[in-house]
Formats: sequence, structure tokens, C-alpha cells
Amino acid sequence: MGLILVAGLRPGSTGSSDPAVNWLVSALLVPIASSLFALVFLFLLGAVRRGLSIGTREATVTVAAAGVMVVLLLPIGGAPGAGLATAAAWVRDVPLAAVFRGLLIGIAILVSVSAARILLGVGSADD
Amino acid sequence: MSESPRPARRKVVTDAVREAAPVLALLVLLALATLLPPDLAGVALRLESADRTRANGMDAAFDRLPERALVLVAFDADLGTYAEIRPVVRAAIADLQGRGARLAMVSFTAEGRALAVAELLRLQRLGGGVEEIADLGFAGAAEAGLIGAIARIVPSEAEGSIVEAIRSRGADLDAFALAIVVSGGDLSVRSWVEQVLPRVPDLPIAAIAPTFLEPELAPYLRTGQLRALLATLPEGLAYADGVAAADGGRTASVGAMPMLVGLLVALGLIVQSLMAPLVRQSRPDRWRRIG
Repeated sequence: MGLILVAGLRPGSTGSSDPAVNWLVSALLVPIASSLFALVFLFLLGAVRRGLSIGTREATVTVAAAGVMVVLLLPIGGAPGAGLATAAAWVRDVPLAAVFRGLLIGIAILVSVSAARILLGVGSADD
Repeated sequence: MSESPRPARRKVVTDAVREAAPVLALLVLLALATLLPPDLAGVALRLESADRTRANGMDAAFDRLPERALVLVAFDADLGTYAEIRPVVRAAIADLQGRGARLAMVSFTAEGRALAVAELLRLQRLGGGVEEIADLGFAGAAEAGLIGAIARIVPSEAEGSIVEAIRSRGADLDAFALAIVVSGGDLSVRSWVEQVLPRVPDLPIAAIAPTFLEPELAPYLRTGQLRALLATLPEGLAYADGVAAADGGRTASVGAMPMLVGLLVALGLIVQSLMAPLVRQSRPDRWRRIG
């Protein structure tokens, strides 16, 4: 952070578009951050193994659903690929879209109710 | 007499190595997958998408561009999901440059700017005789920056032939024939549809997004508010393969191969972990004692 501040704020610098800032970002910041995010994949797999070894029903259902989605999104060709693409499209368009829209509608209703309560001066004491 | 700590320590080390073995095997496999040449990788694992509908949509959006069109690349990917869309973004940029489009890149998020800088420097290193992409820099404050850019997107210090072409057309978003939004978790293309389209209704918008944004963005594609959308790995590969086939393999989508291997390894590990309790339950007691 100090390096980028110095590079971006030194006299004569053009700020976020300065070549020194650009080099620091592309040669240090992006590779380091990308490496950290790449580790998430390994930690996630470790968490899956540990979660399943504990044997709770919730963990099993979550991991099974994740496994189904991974299968549906596999980029493979031929007849199996066509079947997967059709199934993936149905999952996206029907159950997933339903859950997602339900969430959005629920959030919108909650925000409206909260806004109405604030505007009308209704507090928790009035409940 | 107390037990020597050495055998106990050795057991701990052995257990740790046994526990880490799948992860180490995964790392080796990923490393090998990145080293495979494209031809051999094509034999080992066939990367292909059965459904080309959305890839054709992106092709159609690019086909409608006029000659030497000004195209804005709004680069707001995030570091966590950019790996998924990187091959598609690179293929789209190569495709647009191959069609003679004049590209300008802008970011409204800090992570998007960092990734945009890395891509711009990579393209500069590659050279290849194509016209350089104009860097319109970083307009901070995410959605507020996006709204501010509608009226004025070119920073005063920017220069170059593409920048002059944008200035001659008003230096606003109306100057562009297409905006292609590289979307991420911080600033989704949904902000473009909600904030930009009502103010600039004639600007066609296409998007490249990670899979998790697909349910949010698919309705915009159906209503025509998005001209094109690539939002899953198979869709991206279908498009990138088409671009690679059109330009003789110069932009081959080899970057997706480790991702496929990663998906398969994750799948294997999930199945193995799900099956392990069932196998233990079905194993007779005597085998359990021996094992």
C-alpha cells in the first residue's frame, strides 16, 4: 500500500494511470491477490471433506447440490454435453430463477416495509 | 516409564501426509494440465460446449458493428471470479480487434481497474500490430462513477487517436457503438441496465459475467436490454472456440483447461467424500477390524 501511495502521489505522477502504479498493480497486486483467491479452491475442497466426515444432513445436501451444479456446468461435447446443457438450462430457468426472484421480491418487500416504518415513525415499541 | 515422543510424532506426520495427499495430487494434476500443449490437451480432455446459442448472440452483436466502430470495454471484474471469465474476455478483445473495432477501456471499481491494468500491459507486451486500446482510466465510486461517466467519460489528460475520436463524438457514452461490460461481484452489468440504459437508450450493451451472476442477468437478455450475454464456462468456451477457429487458433482458449481439470477433481472429491460413509457402513465388521 505504501509503495502504491508513493508511486501515485509523488511529484509528477499521473495518479492511478501512472506507469509506476500500473507496474506495481500488474506485477505485484494482481498476482498476489489471484494466488490468495486460488487457495480458496483448495480450502473449499478441504472444507467439503471435513463437512462430510462430520456427517450432518445439511452438509450432505449442500455438497450434493454443488456436485450436481458442477456436473451440469461441465464443458463437454457430444450427446452427453447436449443433455447436460438442456438440464442446466432447465435448472437455471426454473428452480434457480424461482429462488432468485423470490429472494429479490422478499428483499424489496422488506426494504419497502422498513422505509414505511421509518417514514411513519413506527418503532419497535409500537409493535 | 513414559512413551517416546518420536513414534507419536511420526504418526502425526504420516497422518498429515495422508490427509494432504488428495490436495497434493490435485496440485500436480493442475500443474500438468497447464503444461499440456493445446493439441494434446484436446485429446486428453475434450473441451466443447453443446449449446452455442449465446455464443451466436455475441457474434451477432459484433456483426452489427459498423466499420471502425468505437467500442467501450467496461472492465469491472473482481479478483475472485475473473479466472472463470479470463479466456472469454481475452477472446472477445481479440475478436473485436480482429474486426477493426477501436477499443477504449474504463473501470469503475478498484479491483476492476487492477485487472484492467494487468490486461492492458499484457496486450502492450504482445503487440501484434493491432491498434492500442485507449485507457480511459479509473472513475471511482462504482455506480456513482458510472452515472458521472454517462456525460463525460474521457479524462482530460487522456490522449491518442481513439481518445480524439471519442472526444469528437461528444466524449460521452453516446460516442460508442457498443459497450461490452466485463462484470464482477462489485459492480454488475445490472447497474448498467438500471442506470445507463434509461439515460442512454441507444447504447447496445453486451456482457461477460461469471456463472453466479447468470440468474440475475438472464432476464435482461430475454427482454433485449442486453444484446448478448456469456455467463457460464460452457457458453464462454463455445464463443472462445469460435473465435479461435476464425483466426486460425491464435487466440486458442487453452486457459480454460485447468478449470475443467479443477471441476473434475472437485467432482471426484465430492463423490468420494459422499460415498465414503456408505462404504464404511456396508463393510463387514471383520473387514473394518482388519482395515
